[in-house]
Amino acid sequence: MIFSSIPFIFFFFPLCLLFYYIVPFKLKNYVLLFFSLVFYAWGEPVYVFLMIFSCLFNYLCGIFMEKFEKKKKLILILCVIINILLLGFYKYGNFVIENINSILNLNINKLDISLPIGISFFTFQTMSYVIDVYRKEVKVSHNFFTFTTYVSMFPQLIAGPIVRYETVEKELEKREINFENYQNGLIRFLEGLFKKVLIANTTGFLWNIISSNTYNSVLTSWLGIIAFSIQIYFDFSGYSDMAIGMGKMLGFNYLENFNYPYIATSITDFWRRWHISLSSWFRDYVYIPLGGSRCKKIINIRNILIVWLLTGIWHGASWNFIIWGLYFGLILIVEKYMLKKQLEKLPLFFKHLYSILLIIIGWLIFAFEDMSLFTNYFKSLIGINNKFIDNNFMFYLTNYGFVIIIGIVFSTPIYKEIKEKINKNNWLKIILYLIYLLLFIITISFIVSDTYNPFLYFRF
Amino acid sequence: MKNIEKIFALIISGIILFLSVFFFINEKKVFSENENRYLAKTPKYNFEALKSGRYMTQIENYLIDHFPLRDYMVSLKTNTYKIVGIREVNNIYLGSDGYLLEEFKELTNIDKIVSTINKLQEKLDFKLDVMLVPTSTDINSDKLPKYAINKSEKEEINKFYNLLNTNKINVYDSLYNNKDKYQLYYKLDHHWTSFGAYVAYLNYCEYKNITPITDYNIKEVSNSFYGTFYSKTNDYSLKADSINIFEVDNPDYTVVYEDKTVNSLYATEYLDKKDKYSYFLDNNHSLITITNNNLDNNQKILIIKDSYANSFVPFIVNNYKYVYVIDPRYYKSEISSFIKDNEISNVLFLYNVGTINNDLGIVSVK
Repeated sequence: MIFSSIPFIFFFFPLCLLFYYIVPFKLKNYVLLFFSLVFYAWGEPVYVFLMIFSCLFNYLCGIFMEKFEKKKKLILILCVIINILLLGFYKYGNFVIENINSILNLNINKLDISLPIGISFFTFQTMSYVIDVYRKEVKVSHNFFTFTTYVSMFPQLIAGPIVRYETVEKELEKREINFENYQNGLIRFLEGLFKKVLIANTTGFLWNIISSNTYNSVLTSWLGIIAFSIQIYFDFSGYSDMAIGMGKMLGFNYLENFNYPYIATSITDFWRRWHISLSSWFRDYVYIPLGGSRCKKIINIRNILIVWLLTGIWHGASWNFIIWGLYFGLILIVEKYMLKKQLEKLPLFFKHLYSILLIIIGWLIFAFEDMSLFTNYFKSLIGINNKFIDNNFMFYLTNYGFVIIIGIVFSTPIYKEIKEKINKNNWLKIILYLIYLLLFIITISFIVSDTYNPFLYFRF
Repeated sequence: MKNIEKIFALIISGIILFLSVFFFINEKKVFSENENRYLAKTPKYNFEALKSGRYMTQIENYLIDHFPLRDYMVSLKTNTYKIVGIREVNNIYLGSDGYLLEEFKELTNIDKIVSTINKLQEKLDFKLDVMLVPTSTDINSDKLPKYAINKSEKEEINKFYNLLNTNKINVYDSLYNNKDKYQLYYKLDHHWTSFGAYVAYLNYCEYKNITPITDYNIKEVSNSFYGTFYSKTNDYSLKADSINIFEVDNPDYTVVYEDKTVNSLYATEYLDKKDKYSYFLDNNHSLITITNNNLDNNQKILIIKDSYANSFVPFIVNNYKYVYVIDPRYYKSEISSFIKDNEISNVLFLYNVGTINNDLGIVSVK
């Protein structure tokens, strides 16, 4: 069940909120846990037990680390290994088999498993918990239900952000549930919904057309990859907005996951702004423990490469994600050790241009699992064997230009500034929320229309 | 004033609650005329379905299919698209003058179709006639949105004709030359009108060197036809099409379907339904035999066809006493022996270029 669907918006979530608000505080975590398990089981009726097992296992590791203080390092190592094995088995098992088969010319049968939804997210959440317990940064949880509520909480379960135990530790016991949080959370949820449905889905539609064309002119190719860049940002950040909004409605304050990544002035800057909960996870649990940057240059370069190799792998079991991760790792090393001074001297405009171009090329690697498709698309971007402009480009531009411009504008903090001004004037505020109301209705019409399947050609 | 957000949140919550409650009290439709399909049934629980997740999918489909105001929502989306400049919805171009036009794509199955027809030709000792009709998209291409991406149907038809060993009747030019004189295609449906079929009929007669009948009473039988293209966009601002028929004086036909015999080429009951094009020849049948009792020329013709032929047949029946109509999607016997058994020496393949590629019923012709 995705958030931007009729069953979620009109049935699951209202019902959950209804029960959540009417029960006394003591029971609220149980209501939340119940609905979260239903939510997960809805998509994964079998793997829900895997998730519960993962919660139980990490919960017990926490308890054992407290009990056997002297052996806690051993427990931690075992715990992390098992978590990684579990994730590795389900997410990368078949990928590893495929590669072994093709390299060694073997014929090992593939595993009959599918990827449990959200396993990358909840495994990283539980690992952050046990590591923080080891480091004494959080207290050991002594309530299995509360702990499972934390891991399985449906707003962030399947698409993040990766919420650390320390962020919600106190709120799991005591949190403010009031109408102001409800209304602000709802508004945040709607903003995410608009981003996902109106912008990400529409630009995604254009990208699907362009990327499956056998021929594109240079300008069409650029339009396509820009559409994809907008799609992936609005999709992912829209989801994070919805998660943060719903968290607020339930009384939780999650950390922000995006901070206008496309206005970055360098790739280093970009990764402070994109999927913050993931990059900070790797920073705190991999990069710094490896020695971070307070070590020899060569060790630091090794550390950066390890982190970005892992970041790439985390995104999916396919070579293009690994290349994508290393691509950014290398750029970060170059920025840090070679271009730092030159970059700082560049005029602002060129800093932005430099960053956005590298980001876009990154998305190109990200988008195509098939290397030959990537090469073809790249060729048409730089004008090998194709026209610069054609009629198709004019059609795409006239049709989708408006949505793309909206996407570009809302990738910058302009709207945030405008909204601050609007909030000072009641009339403007009324107009703003009337527009939101209209957008809500339009968004619902988009969601409904996507499920509208005229079946017309069985008789003609 | 903090209250504005509060009021807004209450209104949104109210809308959500209203629609979800309305869902439960709203009467559930079984069939959606607009989408031409049965809607999801009440989900049935069993443990297997729960375990596989099928039960949840059924519940979701049920909630979605019976969601209130579904048809209006689609209209709202189409109109939002129009406002922001998007001129293509569900592969349908939102054209000018109230025209909806379907994006035409390359004929990818051309080889399969051609070899089927050529094989039938080999079995016969006379030449088949093939008529591949262009669609509104090409003939009315001046109504397409600016820069619309569209493959030339004329070129595809020629490509197709060049591979055939049969007679080929070119109707493209006469349709194109008459497009401003008559409304050759429905604006909201993928079919041609009786006028389009009439132009093709004149063309056919010229090719076969027979005398066309040109004396008709043109009668409007419906002015509220919302066709298949309309269903894909649900744009409420569009005006319905009229359906016209060309009638001769004192018609006297015997029309034999698989299960019934009637004396009219038209099925009036469809005029009250959404699917009004089925008024012509009672929708689709595997075999229809029509006898024109006013003629005594004993001429026979077999038409192998898609639904475009349904509005063409009312003309051709005035030249041939016996008209056999076969739809190979449903007719599974050998057509070559049908031709020999009935001593037929005129066979016309009549298809439109927009659907011939997707509807591979034709490939089963033998």
